[in-house]
Amino acid sequence: MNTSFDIMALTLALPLLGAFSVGAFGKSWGKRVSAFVASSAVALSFLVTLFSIFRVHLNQVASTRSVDLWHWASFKVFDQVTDVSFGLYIDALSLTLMSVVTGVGFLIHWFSAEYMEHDPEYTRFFCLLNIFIAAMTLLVLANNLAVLIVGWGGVGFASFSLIGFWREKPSAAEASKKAFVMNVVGDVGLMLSVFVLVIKVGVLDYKTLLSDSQIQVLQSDPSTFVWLGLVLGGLLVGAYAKSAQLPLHTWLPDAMEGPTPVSALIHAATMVTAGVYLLVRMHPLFELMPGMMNFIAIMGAVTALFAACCAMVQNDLKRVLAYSTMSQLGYMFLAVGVGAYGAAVFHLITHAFFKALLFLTAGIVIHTAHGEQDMRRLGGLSKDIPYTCFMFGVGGAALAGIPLTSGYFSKEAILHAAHESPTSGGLLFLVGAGVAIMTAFYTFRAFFMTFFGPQRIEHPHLPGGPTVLSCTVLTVLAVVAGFFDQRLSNCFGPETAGSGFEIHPEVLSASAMGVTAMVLVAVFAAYALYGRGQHDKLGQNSTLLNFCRNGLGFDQAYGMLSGGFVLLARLARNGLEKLLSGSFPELLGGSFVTMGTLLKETQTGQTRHYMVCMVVSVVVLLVYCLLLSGGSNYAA
Amino acid sequence: MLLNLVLAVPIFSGLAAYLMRQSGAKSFAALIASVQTLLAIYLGFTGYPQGVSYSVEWLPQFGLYWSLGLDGANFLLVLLTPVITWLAILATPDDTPKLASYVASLLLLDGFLSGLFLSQNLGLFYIFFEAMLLPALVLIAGWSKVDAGKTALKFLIYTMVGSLPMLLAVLVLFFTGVGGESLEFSQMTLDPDKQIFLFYPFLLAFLVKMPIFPLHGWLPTLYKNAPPTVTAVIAALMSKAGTYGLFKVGLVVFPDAFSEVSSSLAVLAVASIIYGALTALGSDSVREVLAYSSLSHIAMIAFGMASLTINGNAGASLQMAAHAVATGGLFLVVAVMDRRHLPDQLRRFGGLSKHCPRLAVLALFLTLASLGQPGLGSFPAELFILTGTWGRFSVLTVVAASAIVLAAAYLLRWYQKLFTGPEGTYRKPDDLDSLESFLLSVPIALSLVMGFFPSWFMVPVRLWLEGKL
Amino acid sequence: MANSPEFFLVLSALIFCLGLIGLIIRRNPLVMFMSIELMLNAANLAFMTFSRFPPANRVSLGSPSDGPAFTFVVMTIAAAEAVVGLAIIITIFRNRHSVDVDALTSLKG
Repeated sequence: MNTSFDIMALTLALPLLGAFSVGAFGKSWGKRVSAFVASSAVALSFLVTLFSIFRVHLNQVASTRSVDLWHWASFKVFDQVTDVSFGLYIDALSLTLMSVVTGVGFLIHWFSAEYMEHDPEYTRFFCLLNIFIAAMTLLVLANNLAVLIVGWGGVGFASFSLIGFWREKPSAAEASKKAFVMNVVGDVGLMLSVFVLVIKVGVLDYKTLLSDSQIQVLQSDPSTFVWLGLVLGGLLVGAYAKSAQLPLHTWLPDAMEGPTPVSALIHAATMVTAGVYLLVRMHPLFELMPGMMNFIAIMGAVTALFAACCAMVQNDLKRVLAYSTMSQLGYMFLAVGVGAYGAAVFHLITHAFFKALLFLTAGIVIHTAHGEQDMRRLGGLSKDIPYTCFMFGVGGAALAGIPLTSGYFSKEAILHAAHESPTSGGLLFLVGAGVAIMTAFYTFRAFFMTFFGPQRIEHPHLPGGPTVLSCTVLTVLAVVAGFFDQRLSNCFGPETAGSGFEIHPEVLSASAMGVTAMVLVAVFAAYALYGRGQHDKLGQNSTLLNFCRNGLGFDQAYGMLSGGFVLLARLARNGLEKLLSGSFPELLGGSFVTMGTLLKETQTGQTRHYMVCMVVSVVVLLVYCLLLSGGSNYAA
Repeated sequence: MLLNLVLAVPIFSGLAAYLMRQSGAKSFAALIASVQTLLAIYLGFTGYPQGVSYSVEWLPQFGLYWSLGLDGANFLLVLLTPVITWLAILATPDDTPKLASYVASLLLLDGFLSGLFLSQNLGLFYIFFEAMLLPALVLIAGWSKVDAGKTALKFLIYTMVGSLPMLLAVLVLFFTGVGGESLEFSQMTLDPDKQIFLFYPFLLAFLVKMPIFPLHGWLPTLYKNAPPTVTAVIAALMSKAGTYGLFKVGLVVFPDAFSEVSSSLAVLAVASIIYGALTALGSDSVREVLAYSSLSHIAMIAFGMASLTINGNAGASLQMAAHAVATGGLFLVVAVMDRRHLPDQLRRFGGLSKHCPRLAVLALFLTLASLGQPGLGSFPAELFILTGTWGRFSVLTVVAASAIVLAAAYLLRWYQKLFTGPEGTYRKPDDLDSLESFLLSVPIALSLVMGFFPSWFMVPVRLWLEGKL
Repeated sequence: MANSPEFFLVLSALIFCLGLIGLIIRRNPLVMFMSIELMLNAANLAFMTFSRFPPANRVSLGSPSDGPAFTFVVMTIAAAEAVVGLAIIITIFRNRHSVDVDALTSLKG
């Protein structure tokens, strides 16, 4: 295997270097320098990514290339050797995602530099953010499934550490553990796909595995379909766990225990979209099994609907956004399932911008309100922080899909694809449209409850320059990103036609107009219900509403499952284990001791007793030898 | 010739260290262990990847040759033995009573373990297998804080029950001549149908030494009572005597018998994996959780070997090293906590990260190394093991893979009970000093290297495995 | 009668049994010692008998002088044993002011 170097390797090395130096010297450098180092590592990564994109555009390098940095390991099954290199796969998809990861990543670093200023663990925060960027880079750029898992696990670790960033909070620790364990389930799913691929195909790197010739070989072999389901199932488990799709979603709402920039970066803009990336990346394999594609589409729609229902009744500002993230991810899975990969990636990008914006402005709101996140106790903030209110409004508009914002274009592209898709006759489209309307309603419910109505916060803490500035950049992006659909389409190459990578936001079709009209109605409905600080009927405590608010019982189900394991564990530890390492060896040892105690009584200490024993034994032995066992040998 | 030094240096210096004054002994022992490390590294690099060997006649009338060899099977363990011993010696608190004898015994243990891993003669292998019990028992009986005698006795009886039949089997092998002219690993050839009865005693000895469910009765008692630096060496290296024995003796001397029992071994291993995970989840003791996690992870090694595939065995070999590093590191964490007189019950803990932020970070990485975090050593090992087993035992593989999720659950539970949440009831400790931070960083660095460059560690063992499976 | 080995062997057995019974029933260590001497001498008698009347129909395992040689060894050993034994008895008497064998039960389990 020939190893080589590509400039994109720097995007991996820079944040790692940043993480290491901030981790090792951050305490002595102080806050300003640490934040500067960490942010500039990500900024430089972003510049390197841009440079690579320009080089592709100037035709200096191939648009799709696989670079092996070093040899990672080799599998061997009989005579079939699978070489796995630690390498990068650089194509339009990974470069696009890389620019989002490093771009949004940089903005959030910049935002955090001020936002986290009063935290005593400032340097640890930036070290972890840089670790996250490095791991996410590896996830996106890896050129094979095994190395992808390394990045996959790495972002899981960063997510775990950042959700549980405030270590003294038991709820944060619990949430981080939940996220990590759920993500390990996903890792195991991916590992399962790796086992099967290694044994059945012997190829893990994308270039060979996803090449047309390999796919044709697989398609022509009927035995493929015996095991392909396992591979795809494993990939799906991984994707569902990482992207918080039903039924592996319960960790995402709890993940909001982490600092808000973390929610923006990891649990909205980048990490949770890794599942979408994985499915888009592996789409040639998924297309071999149309049933699997339909399953993805349907589950995507169900998740979108489910999360929208939960989001409607939340009272916590961040949890509304968390459920909306889940719902939007459902859209992306829906798009992947109907074969509209371009639309999925497009929505992934616009979502990264507007959802990061929403979380960051929500962070400003929380700071302004001295840590209050409950929307029922917020209100009237538009008078204190009008500019933030404007930015949140823009983000909300994009999330709701109001015309001319980026979200509008990407969502229309997905709805269009769902409309065109033969799967389950227009039902997918109907669900998608319904969810769009619900999204508009709950987003603006949150907006009006937070910013309108009577002022409830005394002595608001106003945001500083960098936080507002970074949000402004995101605001601009959240608006204009929608106009880049054709550029993105072109970016995936001239051959996108018919490949699923073309993007059709048919904004003038009748169905699109209808959905848009309904969305606008939903926004007005939200204004009418919440615009003047009215009593909130959806925030009440009734059995049904609480059931929805707590995620429709999934948490309880998982709680019972883990409770069952804990019970089993206690039984094993206090039952069987007490027996195996306690009673059993002790009983065995004890029985020997008892035997000894009994036998000890024969030792009377009286010489004559020993003597008699000896004489009797000798006599018995003699008799035995002479009479019973052929005594004739001894006779004269 | 240098091979002899790898074990002669620690054994003779260990004997000398018994006579030394208390003050200088620790630095002397650390120096010796580092010299041995350098020797092992030098040998490892000069012999990479085929290995080196050395053999002279010793007692040929008993089939005994003084045969040592560095090969693919023992490559990683020979390199790691002095490193882990070195860490354990440095982590030993200075106020340990009779410090000189303590470190001297650690050196002896190190020397005998190196001899065990290096020996290429079954008789020699047996001698070292038994000899290493001596320093281990001295350490356990002499320095355990609770139930010293009982702990040592339990360990002794368990291992003896395992290894006496093994002695018989060695004697039968030589005196009946079924094993061939000598007891050299490279020259032994056995009839396939005679292997099985002679293999069972070996299997028993190795399974007890690892240990594996349900033969693990000595493990929780020992890991809980023995001084943590001793436990680090025992958990990291001595347990590998069992897995390594299975690897070497099983594959070289009894290949047919090994493949005959492999299915039952796989079932036992998976039972052990799950059982260890469950008991670890249900335990309330800092050390016990680590003990049971060790039970679970070591069974993973046995599972990989039972697959009888190159992937499974290469992964098992890497897992031996990765587990040694991770578990050794975790028991060093226990050692530094012990030095601060922290309690053993998890429920008394909480919020330790506030007092010991450095310890919190390093312990987190070691926890991750143990639970198979991608990017650290156990991940490629487990990936290879499970790839190997998938071909033969798909259902068992899925069960074993689900234990990875359990491992994440119980190890994070352990970590979070110690370091996060509200403050527990213990005397507030100081953070790590720079030596301790360094000690805990070494295993993390090793684990990272194994995680990102596993190929380098697996080439020798793959060469060695060629033609054996 | 004196020419047949049976006479000497029966005599030897009788002496041996006498010694044995004495050893078992007496409590005085000195008498017990004498009984042991009786038994040893019974054995010596048997040795001499077999040396004088070697078995005719069997290949002899040794030369005829083996018997007297063993007898001398036994006598020497017996002498040495008496010395050591008497020393032990004297020590016991010094410590406990009694030499009753039944009272010496410190090896009781």
